[in-house]
Amino acid sequence: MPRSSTPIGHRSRFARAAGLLTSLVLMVAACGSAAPPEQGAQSPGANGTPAGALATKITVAWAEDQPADLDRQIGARGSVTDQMYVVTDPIMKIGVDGSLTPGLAESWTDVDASTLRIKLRQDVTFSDGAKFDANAFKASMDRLLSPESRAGASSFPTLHEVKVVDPYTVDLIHDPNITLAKEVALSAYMYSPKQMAESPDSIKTGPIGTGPYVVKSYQSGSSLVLQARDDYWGKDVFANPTIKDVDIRFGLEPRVRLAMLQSGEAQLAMNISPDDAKQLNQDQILNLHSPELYFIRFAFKQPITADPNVRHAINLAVDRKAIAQLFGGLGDPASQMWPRTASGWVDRPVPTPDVATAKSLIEQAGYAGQTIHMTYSADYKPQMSDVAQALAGMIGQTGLTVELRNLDSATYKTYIRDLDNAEPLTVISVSYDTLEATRTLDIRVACAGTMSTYCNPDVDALYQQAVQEPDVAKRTAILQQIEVALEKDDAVVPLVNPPLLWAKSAKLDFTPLSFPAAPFATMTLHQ
Amino acid sequence: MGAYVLKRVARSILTLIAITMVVFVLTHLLGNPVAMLLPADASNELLNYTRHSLGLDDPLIVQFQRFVVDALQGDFGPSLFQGVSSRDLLVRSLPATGLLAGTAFIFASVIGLTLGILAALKPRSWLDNAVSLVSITGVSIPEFWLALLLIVFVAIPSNFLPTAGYGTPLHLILPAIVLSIRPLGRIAQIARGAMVDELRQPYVVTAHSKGLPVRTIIRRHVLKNAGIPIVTIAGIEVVDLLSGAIIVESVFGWPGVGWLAGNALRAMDFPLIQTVVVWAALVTVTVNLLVDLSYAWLNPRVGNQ
Repeated sequence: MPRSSTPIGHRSRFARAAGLLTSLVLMVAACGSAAPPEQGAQSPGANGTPAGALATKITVAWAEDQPADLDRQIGARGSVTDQMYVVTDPIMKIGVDGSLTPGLAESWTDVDASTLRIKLRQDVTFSDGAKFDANAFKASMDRLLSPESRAGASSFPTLHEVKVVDPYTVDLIHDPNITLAKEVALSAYMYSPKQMAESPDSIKTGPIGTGPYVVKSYQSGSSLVLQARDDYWGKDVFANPTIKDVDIRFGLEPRVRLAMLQSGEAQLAMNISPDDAKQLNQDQILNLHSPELYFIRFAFKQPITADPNVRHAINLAVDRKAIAQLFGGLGDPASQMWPRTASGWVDRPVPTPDVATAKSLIEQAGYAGQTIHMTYSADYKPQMSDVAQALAGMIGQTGLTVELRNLDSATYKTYIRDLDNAEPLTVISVSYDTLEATRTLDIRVACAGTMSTYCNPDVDALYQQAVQEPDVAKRTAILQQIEVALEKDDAVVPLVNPPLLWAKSAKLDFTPLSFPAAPFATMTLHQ
Repeated sequence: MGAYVLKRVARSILTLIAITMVVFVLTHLLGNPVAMLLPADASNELLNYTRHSLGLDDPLIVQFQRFVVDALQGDFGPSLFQGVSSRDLLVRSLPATGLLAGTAFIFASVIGLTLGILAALKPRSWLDNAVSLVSITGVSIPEFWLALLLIVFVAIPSNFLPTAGYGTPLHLILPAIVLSIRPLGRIAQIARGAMVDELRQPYVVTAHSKGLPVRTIIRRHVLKNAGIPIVTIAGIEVVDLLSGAIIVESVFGWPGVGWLAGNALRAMDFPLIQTVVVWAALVTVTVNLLVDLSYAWLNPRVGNQ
């Protein structure tokens, strides 16, 4: 076979080939419009409507989490299954300020300390034609309270039984629990009794509710397509959707969700990171102010954190405003165990760090130069790793050396319940879905709490008073006393309320309502 | 030849059984799947009830017996997370993986083989250098990075290629390109090397001196003799592709076996993990068997030994 030509000829030919290849790549990248498309813009007719009209189809790029299935009565919670509120209607609605307004319930009242009576609307039908009444309510609640349900036990820990009083009135029999109405608002998904009786398995892929949308198709863990009902009973009461088709894609990487929004493929992207949010215009970012809190849990059985001086020193060393900056400046530095909108909020400023005093307290306690272990999980919640690293630096200024331990989600979820082997410091999160502080106190700071290493009988007694106090003002006062006690004991170190960021197309009008519902029914997408 | 085939088949079956057993043990070392199924604040009663209902509190030997009975029926039980048969979930994801893997493999093998042959015909030429550059780049480039690069610099500005998803031919383009780059590079490298070695052989010189056209020499003689290493590398790449490309399928939201595997691992879904791993083992064992059998065709001396 003939040899190739001279070296000079090689370089010349190679350079030409390289130049040709580079040109080709640049041409492909420059294909389409010369300027990047307006973020979220739709090409005319892209959504099947003439330019200038409202679009009727929206694509939503969801977060990475995968729903097990769509059966929210049996399966555990997940952000996609929470969107089943567009297939069902809530019994009551929770406003952004935590207040309850009528939904499928017209009214509700506490008959006594253990009975919540709910009067239901009389004009509601499921999308398969079945009537929504007291029996339908009871059937759904019975399914939620069944032993098979992973959702019911954690959503309604104090609810025992549902009784039918008359065709449109039900009584909920429960242990003393002042937050039951909010729990019902958040988690009582109503499915068609006809579907539950005839084909309960079909609920996993297409629950039938009373809501403005029906499930058109569901590809497990991949996509969910919703279609607006023409016969929705609540058009004049709740919403008459202009968006007729909702295409939810889940299991997407964060960068891909953003890319879908930027390319116009999606008009709404969920759970955007603060870094990704910087690439979008301000008016495209929705900060839903999730009712979540990151905090440090102390292990009171460990000698180092049983020492109140050490706990107080760590509290003084933490710069909460700096922690909030880790979320792109969109986090809210926390001054207490619950967010501003929750009942029990004590109006006090965010503590400013005092490293000098913290250092002196550590020396006084005799722990200067000692190592203290901190556990967290980088993949359990966003930015946890950054928070833990920052905390290690801040606490390190007191003279302690922080040794970090990162656990995967599953191991972490087991570890935080293993109270006997809890490390001195653990970074934990808590969510106040119902905006009721009592909802999580029993788990996280009560003596018998499954994740609580703290025990103060006075706090427990106040908690018992709070859960039985129907008067909002009195309950708030009790919760405030609890918060003051927690602060005095340095029971925990509240850190930050992280942002919950969504990104939308510039052409999408969307007013966030209460967490967690995404009101496709009230969205408007302009062409 | 018959004995050769039988021996290979028997060894493949034994390998598969051994892998299945190892998978069971390793999966149960991963941790507590119930923690992933329930919220962090679930009560101890619910945790214990769920553990019991899934049979996870049975002694390991009992779980293993159940596992063997299921495995003999080709199923490893229902997915802990989704509650449906793990086998059904795998079967549902196979068409997507088949489509992506098949497209990537065809693209990689046609282009890779062609480049390898061309480079071998003109060693140390600019073409040979270019093919080497393409091969090295293809083998070295991280898939995740390339996928995001294509999304940001091709999909978004182009306004017609989707960034992610599944369902249309356009959705297939970018993931297939990403997935084909590495096998293309490897096939081109190996093909070039094997062809160069064969082209040096005396029989090629003889064939050339007899006046046979180059194309005929390549097609009828050289390619078959150079085939063993090429088929070997192609087999390795097919195994990788069919076992599921976790990264590519995750980035592009492509609902194939790799995407299923990623979800199963994240959720600690034991039966689904076992199903996906055994599928990967089955693909590996089958493809290796076919590659071994092809040796006998490519080189009859192998089959007669």
